[in-house]
Amino acid sequence: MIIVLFLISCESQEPIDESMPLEQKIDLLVEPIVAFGNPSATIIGIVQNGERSFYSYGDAGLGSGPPLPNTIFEIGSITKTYTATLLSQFIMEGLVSLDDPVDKFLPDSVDPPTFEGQPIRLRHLVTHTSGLPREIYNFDADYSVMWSELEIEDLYTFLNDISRQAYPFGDYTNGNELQSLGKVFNYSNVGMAILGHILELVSGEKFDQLVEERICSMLNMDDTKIYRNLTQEQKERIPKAYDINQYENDFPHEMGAYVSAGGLLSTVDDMLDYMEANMEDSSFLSQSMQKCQEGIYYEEDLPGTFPKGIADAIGMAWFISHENGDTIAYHNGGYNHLSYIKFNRTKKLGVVAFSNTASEVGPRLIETIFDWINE
Amino acid sequence: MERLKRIILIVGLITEGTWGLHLNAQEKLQLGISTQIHNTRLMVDLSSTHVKGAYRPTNVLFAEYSFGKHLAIHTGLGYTMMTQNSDAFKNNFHYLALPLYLKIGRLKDDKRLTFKSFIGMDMHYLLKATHITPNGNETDIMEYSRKFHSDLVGGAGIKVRLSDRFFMEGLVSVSFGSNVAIDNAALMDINNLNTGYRLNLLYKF
Repeated sequence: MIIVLFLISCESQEPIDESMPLEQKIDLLVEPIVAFGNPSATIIGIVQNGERSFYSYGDAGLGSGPPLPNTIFEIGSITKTYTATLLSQFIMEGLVSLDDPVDKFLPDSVDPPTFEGQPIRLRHLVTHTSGLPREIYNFDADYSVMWSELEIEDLYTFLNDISRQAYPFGDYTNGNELQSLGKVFNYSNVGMAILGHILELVSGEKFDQLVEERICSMLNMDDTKIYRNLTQEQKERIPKAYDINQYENDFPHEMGAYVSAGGLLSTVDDMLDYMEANMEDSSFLSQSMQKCQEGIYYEEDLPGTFPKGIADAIGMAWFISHENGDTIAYHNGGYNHLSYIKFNRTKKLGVVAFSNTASEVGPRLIETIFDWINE
Repeated sequence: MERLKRIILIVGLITEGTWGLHLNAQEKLQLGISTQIHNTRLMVDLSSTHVKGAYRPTNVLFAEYSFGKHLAIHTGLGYTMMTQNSDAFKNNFHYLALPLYLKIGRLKDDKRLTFKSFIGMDMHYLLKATHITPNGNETDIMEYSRKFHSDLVGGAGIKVRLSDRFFMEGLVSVSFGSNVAIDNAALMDINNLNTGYRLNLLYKF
């Protein structure tokens, strides 16, 4: 018995030596995980020293084995960085200011909540400091509510309900005011949805049009769209998705009024274009992207609520770290698929990854890979 | 060949104190065959709690040697299978199985029905591990899977006397094991939880 237990404890993978080539290290890291299906298919794209490399594992279920650089995944909440880029452009064009209150743009029928007489401003929405809850509804309690069914009117009703203390899923008000404003970090999909809608009201264009005209067409990102704008051929490049228990996830890819919080789909190819543009400063687009990577609220501004360990500041949607003089930006996303982007703007390197399985393991892998290339 | 030698060595080490020395012990030794179906669930880091289970077989030739009025040692050799069953893929693990249990219950077989319970370990030596995608592609994942794996197991049921020498047991069992996968760089564990129904046919010497 002792011998058996000893043998059991001895089994381990070939250790990863830091001196190994990156490809070998990534293989050793990811292959054992994909073999056990968590995630069951994943693709990683890296930009380093001006060159791109791709690492793909598992079976995307599309007949071609592992995911390809043009396999289309939901980017989920990384969409928020597109929303922030649009906001940044609008600011640079003088159309809006970070200090504009939301009621400046919303219809008169909407009465947004306030805090000590101060209104929610665009800076609060884009930094998750508005005091608004994470979701418009309590999705934990009511899975029957699909984001795809959300309409703009629901956002208006939600804001009015918060103001009238009629919001049924938690106490977010003090009297008829918000509990906080600019002091507490509370990741809010609904806040980003309201911001995206405000950009639509300012421009008179739909969010997907704005993304197409102002970002994707500039970078030739032909595979980055909301679901309904994809062609049939593009839709056939979307792999099935699986939840943490590896059951098939079949939530709609449409996000309804949440489109600016998580409605885009893309490929690793396109997302590397996007990441590289975020690390440049030569164009209006890149400059607008860089503005998003400047810290607005720092960890010490949001004591006890800013997520520990992932960044030291929140910019416009991006989580920002400052390490040895370098600026590192990060965001992830997940609904049906999982997505991840992290780059060092100073060193001009970074990683984009998608997987088809909800997993706590996936982000851990990508963090490790980023640390390897960022050494 | 090296693998076979290792199996023989382990089986010998574990069993020499039980059936090897006592084959001729009258009234204390029972030999039998056990067949079981168990619902296996393989979970990642214990965080996946509703992983789809699948019923898989275990078949073991076993020996029981009793001592005292209520205790017996149960061991044997056989085959078992576990499955990581999901919509995305299926992993099948085939093991040489070696149970080692302490069996507790009334040992005197003077009644038609007696209560039995057991606790112990199921030790496994991996024979084959495969990853199968929904479209049927099969890949070998032996290199990512532990060759040796063990479960803590416990169960209870009844023993029915069929004749002076033959008995039948019906038992339900629960077992839990960790580290189906080898230690990996991503620190991901694969754990298994099994609920089983087993039928033992015993012959008493």
